[in-house]
Amino acid sequence: MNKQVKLISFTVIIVMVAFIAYNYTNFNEDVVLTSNELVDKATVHDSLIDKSIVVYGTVKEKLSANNKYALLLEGSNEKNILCQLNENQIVKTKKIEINEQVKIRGIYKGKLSDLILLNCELLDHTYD
Amino acid sequence: MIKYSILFILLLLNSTQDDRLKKQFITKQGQVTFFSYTTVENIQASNNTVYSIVDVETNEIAVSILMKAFEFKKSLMQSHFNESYIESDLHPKATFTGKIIDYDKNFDGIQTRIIKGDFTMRGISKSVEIKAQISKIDNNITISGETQLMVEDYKINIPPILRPNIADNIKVSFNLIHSLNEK
Repeated sequence: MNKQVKLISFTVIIVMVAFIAYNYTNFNEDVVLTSNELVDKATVHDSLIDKSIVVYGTVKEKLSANNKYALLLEGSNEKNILCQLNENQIVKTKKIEINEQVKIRGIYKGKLSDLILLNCELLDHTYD
Repeated sequence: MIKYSILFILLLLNSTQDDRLKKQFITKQGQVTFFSYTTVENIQASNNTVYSIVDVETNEIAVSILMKAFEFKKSLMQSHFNESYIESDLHPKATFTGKIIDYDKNFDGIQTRIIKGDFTMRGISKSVEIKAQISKIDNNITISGETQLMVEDYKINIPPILRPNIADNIKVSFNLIHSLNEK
């Protein structure tokens, strides 16, 4: 009996650890999309909010105000993607040119006139 | 003759569209910061992706603020703000629509003006009057200032245990640097 209780307890703990680990891994997994795909998905539903997104896109504008830097990626249906960059990305950003294709990771926060990604970092300057 | 008439109408429509855009100034990177001061703790958050559009012909202004884009020093504060107080999933945006009183679009320099309008947050609209400094330099229109918002006006539910941590009056500062809408 004592052995059975121990075995059940052990199994329950293993299942719980596996469940937490699975969810934790999925929670931190990036969603990888092109800028058009991101605009299309975000227009339909809000399930991407607060998710880490890796987005491929073309730089339409470089923006700066109040000591914050952002890249505007070309989207679709008159909606673009505003990526507000982390401070440690400023040097990299200066090398970026308009119409350059970039790969950026950021947290999707929702949409106003454009989609907004915060805490963005440049992963690559060109498509892989 | 019909062909020329259609061409004339098209040109007229096009120029009307151009004229309208020449009077509009926008920013996608406006800054709004709020500050809550109590003896227990100070809470500050900043949003640098505020969208604002000003029409210098009608003196109208419209501002949209994405609530989830406020950044806090402590992530726990940020999750309390979004999940418990503002309920950002239900009310993702705050908006302000109003009119700048007696704004002189031809004056280059700083003007102090009152902006009257409605501020909407959590689905609740309140009439507000905000004193703002408006400057026009190098074809940029910067609108900055501060105001106070009462927590109870917007029915923000704060648990009794956290009540001493949050001020009744929240100071809200803004700096909106608009440039000519060339879209």
